[in-house]
Amino acid sequence: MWRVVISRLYALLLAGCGKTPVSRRLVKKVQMQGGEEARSEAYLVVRCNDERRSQHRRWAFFSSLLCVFLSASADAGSVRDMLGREVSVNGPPKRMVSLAPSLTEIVYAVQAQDALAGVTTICDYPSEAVKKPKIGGMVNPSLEKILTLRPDLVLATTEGNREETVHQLGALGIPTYVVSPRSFAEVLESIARIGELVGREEAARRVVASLRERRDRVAEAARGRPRPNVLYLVWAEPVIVPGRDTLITDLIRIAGGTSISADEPIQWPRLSLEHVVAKAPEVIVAATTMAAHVEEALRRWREQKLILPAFGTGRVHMIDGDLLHRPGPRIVDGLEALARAIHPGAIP
Amino acid sequence: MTPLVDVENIRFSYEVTPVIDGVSLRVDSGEILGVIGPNSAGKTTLLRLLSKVVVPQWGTIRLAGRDLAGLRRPDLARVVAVVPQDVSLAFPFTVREFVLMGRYPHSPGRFFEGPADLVAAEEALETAEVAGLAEKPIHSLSGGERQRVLVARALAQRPSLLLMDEPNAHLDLHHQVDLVRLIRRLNLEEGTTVVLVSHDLNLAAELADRLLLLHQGRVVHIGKPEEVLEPDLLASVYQCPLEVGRGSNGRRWVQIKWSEGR
Amino acid sequence: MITPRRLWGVLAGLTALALLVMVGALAVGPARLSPGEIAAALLGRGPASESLAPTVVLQLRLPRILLAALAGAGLAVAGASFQALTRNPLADPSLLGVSSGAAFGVVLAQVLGLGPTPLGFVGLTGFAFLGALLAACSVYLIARIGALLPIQTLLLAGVIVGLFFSSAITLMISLVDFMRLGAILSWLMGNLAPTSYRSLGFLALGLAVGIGVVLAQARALNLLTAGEESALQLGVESERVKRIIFLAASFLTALVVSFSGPIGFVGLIIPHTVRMLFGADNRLLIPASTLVGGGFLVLADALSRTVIQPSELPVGVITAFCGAPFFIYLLRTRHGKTL
Repeated sequence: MWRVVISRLYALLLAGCGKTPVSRRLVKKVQMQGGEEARSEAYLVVRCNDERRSQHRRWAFFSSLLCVFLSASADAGSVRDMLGREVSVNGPPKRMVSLAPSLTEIVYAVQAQDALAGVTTICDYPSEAVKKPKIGGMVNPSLEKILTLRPDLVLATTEGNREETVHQLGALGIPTYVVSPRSFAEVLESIARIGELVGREEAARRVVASLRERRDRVAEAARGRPRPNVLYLVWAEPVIVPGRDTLITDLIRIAGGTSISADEPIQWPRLSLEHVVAKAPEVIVAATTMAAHVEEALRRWREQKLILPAFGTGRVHMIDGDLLHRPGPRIVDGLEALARAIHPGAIP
Repeated sequence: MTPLVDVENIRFSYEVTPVIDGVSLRVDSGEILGVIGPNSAGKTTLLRLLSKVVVPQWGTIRLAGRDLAGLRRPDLARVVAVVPQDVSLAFPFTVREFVLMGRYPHSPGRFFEGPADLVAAEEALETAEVAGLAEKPIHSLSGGERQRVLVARALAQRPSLLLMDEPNAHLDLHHQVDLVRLIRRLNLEEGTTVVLVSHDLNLAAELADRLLLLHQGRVVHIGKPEEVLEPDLLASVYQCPLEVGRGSNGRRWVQIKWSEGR
Repeated sequence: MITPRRLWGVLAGLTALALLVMVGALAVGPARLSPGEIAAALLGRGPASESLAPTVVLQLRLPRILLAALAGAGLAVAGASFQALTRNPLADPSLLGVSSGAAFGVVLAQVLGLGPTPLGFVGLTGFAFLGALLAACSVYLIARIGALLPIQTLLLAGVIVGLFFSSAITLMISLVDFMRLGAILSWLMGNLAPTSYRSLGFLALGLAVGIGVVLAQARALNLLTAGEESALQLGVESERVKRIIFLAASFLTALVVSFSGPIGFVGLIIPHTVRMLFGADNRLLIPASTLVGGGFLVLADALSRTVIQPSELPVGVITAFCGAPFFIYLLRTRHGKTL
């Protein structure tokens, strides 16, 4: 960090140099160089200016060299991940290991897949990712396998990886960059950060811009419309729903609905059926992998004469879980799917 | 002469009701004392008290003049050995291993048994006539064999006082005779004092020098078999009609009068 | 029957076997290493500069194998002790609530946000140990009647305390971050993660003390087999022995569980196997169990690392899969025999 400071100070110094008056030494030098003409005032002025200019050019050259050197060594220092941890990096990584499907998707989205050396067994999107070497699961990756891939960087997420894994990688001397995408904004931030980390800022900027634009379109389409109550079922028996600080609640809000559990302080609270009925959800959403389980549960609720507005209108939707649970670029696909479920016809 | 065992007015209850209620007795060294009485008379509890498994709430028990309360367990176990009614082992020990356990009080601090211990165990196995079963696991033995193994373990302790609780309960007639011979031999040759609890009045009558008749935790009578094996006395305690006779060797026998109904 | 010669003979053989297993386990793992590389790494000789062997062998595999060996040893002895104490061959250290207490400590620490600290064994391990001690003390105080420690109340108290802490764990899990659930559940199934050598040394020391205490009572434990009354009559201070064994076995369990999480069945299977092979005498059973238990867990760990490569199964899954059939076999063969 001190290198950054010094290079900044030096730049300041450089800027200040341009304002110094011609020194007596400089005049003497020109007089010695010149001959007869050196005595004339005009000659002196022109020559002094010339001299000053070349002096400046020399300073500029060397100082720019210095700056390049300093900034290069600043790059050989560290960056801070989304948890504020210092991660030592040496330029864009050449061999990365991703510890989560969402991170793999981000790497592919910013076109850095050539530097991806290893992925988890559940990284399945895009389909090329399946061909990458596997290092195990999100919770229990094989440290040994990671080590054999000789990574210069590991990408991890607070949403699914263990803190212990990050510590163990640190103990083995492998730098690990941790993202913490708890909200939609943070997902975009994580894409931007990873893009910068892997040297693909431009691609990342484009991805983020495109995602933001689509998000804005969804928000615009939902503006002014009434906000229905939305029940997102993580699990139906018992009823487990997303609480206040979850990505899904954020998405539902952007898509123009209100999650019935938006105020719950616990991340994944269990609700009683009574509570669900009291909140009168008009739209029910669940992941497609849960379809059979959820439909079975809903059928039983209908049998028990539990009246939910969603039953009357038949607004029960299944959305691909990967689009909603993976904090990666496809989160906007999930957002759009949610918006179509909540405000049918509003999103093409 | 100091008696080997001196029990002075002891009182003991497991919970509230006294199981032993003011019992005093003496056992002289080298004698065989038979303890008889109906169920819940406190016979087994008396043995427990004498081996310090439980401690009387009142009164003292002295062994060779020393108060039992102050005696450390290994010291006590070197002198007193108990042959319980039965044993059940949770784990498959062999007969020899089991009998060797009887040597513990002689070297409680040692990890391994010494050669003297092995010899003593071997002799005990021989005497109790279970040497052929030495390598068999205990749970594979019959009731009678197990009882003899228990005797062997007690013998391995080389005790001065042997406490026996129904030692013939599972034995067939042949082995009962052997047991009687064994006890007699120990008593005469080694000078072992024996306190023998028995339901079998005839066994007690056969072996004992003196009999202790217990009833509801109290001493009804203690004395020679002729005195204690008195029909009316026995009938009042056992609540059933009995006939007492005299055998050819001069010893008493007792028989239930089956025909006389209640 | 146990003589010094038989004891040392059996132990020597088992030690050789255990070392063989440990060396073999060093060769198991996703990184392909030649025996030469492994040997060089072990001897501290620097290999070809870019070779992974030293890191993999010394920082990943060896600590794990050592932890597995120590944990297996501790659990096996704790199991043998509890079985001797309760005179029940079906007793397992988890029966006395200590494992649940340790698990509770760890889950509590994780829920409170105290992750694994850079200090190594302090932190999560400390919490686990405190939880285990809390459980053991509760069981002891509940079961104790005056100066006596009746075995039936001990077992009941153990079950109750275990249930209590398990419910507490379930409560915390239902409140906790979904994403951390995976981590907690993973720990609850046994977790032989790489540990620092210093922590391993600490564990080894603690185990040595605990096992030493149990071994000193080995002969008295034999006498307890026939019942407390019988043991008393043979000169054993039953109450004192019971107390010492309970505390030592609880300590051993607490120590192991705080490092490796609750790993079931080891404390049950190993003493039984050793008893079937070498007899019931605790003087041989206890030391033999340390070796067989250690070797067994090293094997189970090697399996857990290879069965679904590159993912790793929690080692508790492997021991359970071995243990359950064995348990059933035990029940069926013992049916009818006096226990």
